[in-house]
Amino acid sequence: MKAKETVQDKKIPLFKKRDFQLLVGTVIFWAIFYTLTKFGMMNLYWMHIINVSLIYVILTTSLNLINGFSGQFSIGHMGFAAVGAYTSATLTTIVWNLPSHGVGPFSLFILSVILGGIAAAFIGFLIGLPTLRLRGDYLAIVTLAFGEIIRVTINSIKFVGGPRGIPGIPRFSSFTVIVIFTFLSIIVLRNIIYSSIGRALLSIREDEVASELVGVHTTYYKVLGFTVGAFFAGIGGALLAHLIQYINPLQFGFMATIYVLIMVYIGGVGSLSGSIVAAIGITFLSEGLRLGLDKLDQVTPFHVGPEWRMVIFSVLLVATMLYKTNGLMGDMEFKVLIPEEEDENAKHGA
Amino acid sequence: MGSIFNLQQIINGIQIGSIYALISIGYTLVYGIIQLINFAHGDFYMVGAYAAYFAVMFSAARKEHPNVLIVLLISMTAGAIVAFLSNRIAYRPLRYKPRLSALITAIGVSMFLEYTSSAIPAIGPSYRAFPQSALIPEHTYKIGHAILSNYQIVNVSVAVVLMVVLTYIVQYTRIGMAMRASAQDKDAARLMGIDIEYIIDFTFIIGGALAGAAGLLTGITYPRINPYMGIIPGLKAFIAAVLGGIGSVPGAMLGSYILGFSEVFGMAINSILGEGIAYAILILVLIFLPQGLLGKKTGEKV
Amino acid sequence: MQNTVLKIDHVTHYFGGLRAVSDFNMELPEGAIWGLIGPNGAGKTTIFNLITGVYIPTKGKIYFRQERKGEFYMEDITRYKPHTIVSKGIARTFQNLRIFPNLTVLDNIRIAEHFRVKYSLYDAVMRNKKFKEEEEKIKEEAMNLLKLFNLHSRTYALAKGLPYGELRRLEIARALATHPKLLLLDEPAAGMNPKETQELMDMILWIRKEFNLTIFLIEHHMKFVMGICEHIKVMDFGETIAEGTPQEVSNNPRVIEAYLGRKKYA
Repeated sequence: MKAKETVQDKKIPLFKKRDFQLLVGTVIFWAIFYTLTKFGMMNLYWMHIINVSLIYVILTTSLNLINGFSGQFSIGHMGFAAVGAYTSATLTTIVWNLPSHGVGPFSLFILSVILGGIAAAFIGFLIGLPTLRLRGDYLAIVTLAFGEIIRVTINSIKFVGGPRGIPGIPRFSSFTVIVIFTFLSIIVLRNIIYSSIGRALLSIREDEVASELVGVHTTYYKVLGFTVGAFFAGIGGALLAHLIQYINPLQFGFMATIYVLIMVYIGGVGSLSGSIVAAIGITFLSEGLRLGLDKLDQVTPFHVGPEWRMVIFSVLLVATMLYKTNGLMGDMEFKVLIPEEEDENAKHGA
Repeated sequence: MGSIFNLQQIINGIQIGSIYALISIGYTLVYGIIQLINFAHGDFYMVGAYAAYFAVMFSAARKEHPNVLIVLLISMTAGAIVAFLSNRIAYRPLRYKPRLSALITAIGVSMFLEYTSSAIPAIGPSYRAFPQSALIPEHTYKIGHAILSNYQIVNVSVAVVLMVVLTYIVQYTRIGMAMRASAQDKDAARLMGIDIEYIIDFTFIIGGALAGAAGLLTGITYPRINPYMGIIPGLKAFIAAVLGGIGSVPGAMLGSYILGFSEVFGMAINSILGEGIAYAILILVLIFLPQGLLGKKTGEKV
Repeated sequence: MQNTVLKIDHVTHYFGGLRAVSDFNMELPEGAIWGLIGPNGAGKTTIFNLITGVYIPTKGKIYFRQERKGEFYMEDITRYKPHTIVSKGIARTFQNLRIFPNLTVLDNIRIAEHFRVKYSLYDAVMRNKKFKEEEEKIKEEAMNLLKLFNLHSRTYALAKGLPYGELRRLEIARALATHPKLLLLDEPAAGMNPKETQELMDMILWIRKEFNLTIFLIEHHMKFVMGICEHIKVMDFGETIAEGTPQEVSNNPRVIEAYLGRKKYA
C-alpha cells in the first residue's frame, strides 16, 4: 500500500510554503517601493502608475474568473467597477463628506470599498441570473448592453453629479492599501479556482451540458462566478475612485472594459499569472507609449497623436488571437500561485 | 407640446430605422453564415461616411459639383473594401478556432479602424462637418406641423432601393441561393460544390457596401462625422438584427424600423428612456424571445 | 419479486411537430441490465435525454426509486433539472464521449464528485480544515476509482491526450463518481473491436456487482446486447415495437423487419 499522496502540512518548512513565499514576496515588493517613495527616490508619477497597474491586476484577474475560467463572455466588467466606484465615492465624498474633514476616518473608507464591492456583486447577481443562460456571443452583447445601461443610469442621477461625475474624492487609496487589496484579491481568487467551486466553473467552460449531467448546478455556478467577478470589479473601481480622486460615467464605458479585456486575453485565458503580468505590463507599456509618442510628436514635423497607442494595442490583440489564441501564458500559472496539494494536477510555467 | 405620436416623430422614426436597416443587414448576413458578431461592422459605416466626405471635398476643391450617385458608389466601395480586408486578414484565419476568439478579434479590428482613423492626421479624432449642402442643396417641406427635408427623402429612398436590390440578390440570384444554403448548413453547402470562402467574402462585401451607404446617408442627414461615430449605431443595428431574428434579412429590416420608432418615441418621453430603450429591448428579447421576431429556434444537440 | 427502480409511464415527446417518442413505458427492476435497441433515429438517445432531464417529456411521467429513513418510494422526477436527477442517483455516458478535454483525468472525476462536497464558498476561500479534509476525502475516492479502472497512471494527464479506450473507461468512471443507483450507457461499445467489446461486457457485469447498480444501455452491437442484457426493448420511429428476453426479441418478426429492412445491422 502506497503512502498517502496528499502533502502533509507539517513536512514543509514554513519558508517553503507557497502562501508564505507569496506573502513575503508581496511585503518585499511593498517595502522597496514604500521606502523609495518615503525617501523621495521614486518619481511620484511612476508611483501613480504602479498603483494604477495594481488596480488593473484586480480588474483583470476578476474578469478572467468570468471569461477565462468559467468560459462566459462578459464585456460589461467596467460597469461593475462603476457601481463599486460610485457606491464608495458617494459614501465617502457625498454622504459622509470626508474631504471636508481633512483625511477622515480611514475605517470608513475601507467600509466604503467593501460596500462598493458588495453593491457591484449585487448588481452582478441581478444581471447574471436572467442572462447567464445565454451562450457565448449573446451573453457578450447583453453584458455590453447592461454595462451601457449602468452608465446611462449613473449619467441621469443628479445626486452623483450626472455626466459631470464626482470630483474631490479624498485620496485614500495609498500604495499600501492597494497592495493589500491586490494581494487579498489574488489569494481569494486562487483559493476559489483551486477548489470544487473552481473545478465546477472549469467544467462549465469545457462542456456545459456534460457538466450539468455529472451533477454540476451550472446556472448556480455561472451566477456565482459572475457575482464574485463583479465583487472584485467593484473593489477595483472603488480603489480607483479614491486614487484618481475624480470619477465620471465616461471612464467606465465600453472602451474601458475593452482595455481590461485586452489584458485578460493577451495575458492568458484561464491564467491568474497571465492576468497579473499583462495588467502590469500593459499599464506600463501604455504609459511608455504615451511618453514615447509625445516625444515623437515633438521631433517629427507631422503630428503623432496619442491614438497610436490604441492602434498598437488593437494590433497586439488581433495578433494574439491569430497566433496565440489562448494568450501568452495560456492556462499556465506561476508555481507560487498553485497550492501545494494541487501541484501535480496543475500546469505550471516559470 | 403636441402628442408624442405626431407626424414628425414618424418621419424621424422611418429615417433612423432606414439607417439601422442598412447596417443591420450586414450584421445579420455575416452572423447567418459564420455566427460572428462582427463588432467592426459599425466601423465600416464610419469608413463609408469618411469616403463620401473626402469625395465631396475633392470635387469641391476642383470646383466641380459632385454627383450623388458617384459619391454613393465611392462610399459603398470603401465600406466593401474594408469589410473584405477585415475578413481576409483577421477573421478568415480563425475560421476553425473557437467562436469567441473571432469575436475578440472583431473587437480588435473595430478598435484598429477607429483609432487608426483618428490617428491619421487627415481624419483626426475630432468631429468634422459633413459638406452635405455641397452635395445636395437642402429643401424643406412643411406638412402640417412636421418638417420634412429632402435629405430625409433621399435618405429613405436610397435605403429602400438598396434593400430591394439586396432582397433580389439574396432571393433570386445564384449567389444569393448559395448564401442562403451556406447559412443553413455550411458542410452540406460545401458538399454541393459551393465555395464557402467565396460566399463569405461576398457576404462581407455586400454588408460592407450597405454599411458604407448608410455612412453617406448619415453624413447627409446628421452632418457631423468622427472616427467613433460607428460604435453606437453599430451596436443599435446589431440589436435590431437580434430583435428581428439574427440571420433573417426581413427580420433585420423589421427590427430596425421597430427600434427606430421606439427610440424616437422613447426620446420624446424622456431622454434616458430614448438612450436606454435599445438596450432594454435587447435584454428583453434575448431573455424572452432569443430567436427574435422572425428567426428560427435552435437547440443544442446532446 | 424485485423492486422497480425506474418507472417510465406513458412518455411521449415531440420535437416541434415531430413525434420522437410515443407512449414509452418501462418498469426497470433493481439490479437488472436492460438494453434498448433500434435503428438510427428510432428515439433511443431521446429516451436517455428524457430520463436525465435534458428534455422534459411532452406527455407522461418518469419515476425514480428513492429512500428516506428506510422507507422506499417512487419520486416523480419528470420535471427535475439534469443536475438534480444526477444527485438522485442516475448517471449516464454519452454516445460521442463528452469528457472535459482540457482538464486532467483526476479533475474529470472530481467534478463528478462535486455535488457531494460539503464545504462552502467561505471554507474554500479560507482553505480551512473542513476544506482540506473534504478535498482529501474526494481525492482519495477519485484515486480509488481511477485504480479500479486502471487509469491511475494517467491521473494527472490531460484528458484530451488519452487514447479512445481509456476515454471510454474514464467516462464510465466519471459517471460512477456521482454514486449512481442507475447507470445509463449510450452505445458503450461504439468504435470497439471484438476483444475490447468482450472486455467491456465483463467490465459492465463487474461494475454492476461492485457498485450495486441497475444498468440500462443503448447499443448497436447485437452480440453485445444479446450477450449481456436480460431484457431488451426495441424501438423504431419512436414506438416500442417489441420487448422481451434476447431470445424472444431476436425471433420477433417485427424486429427482424425493422432491422433487415434496413440491412445495416447484421
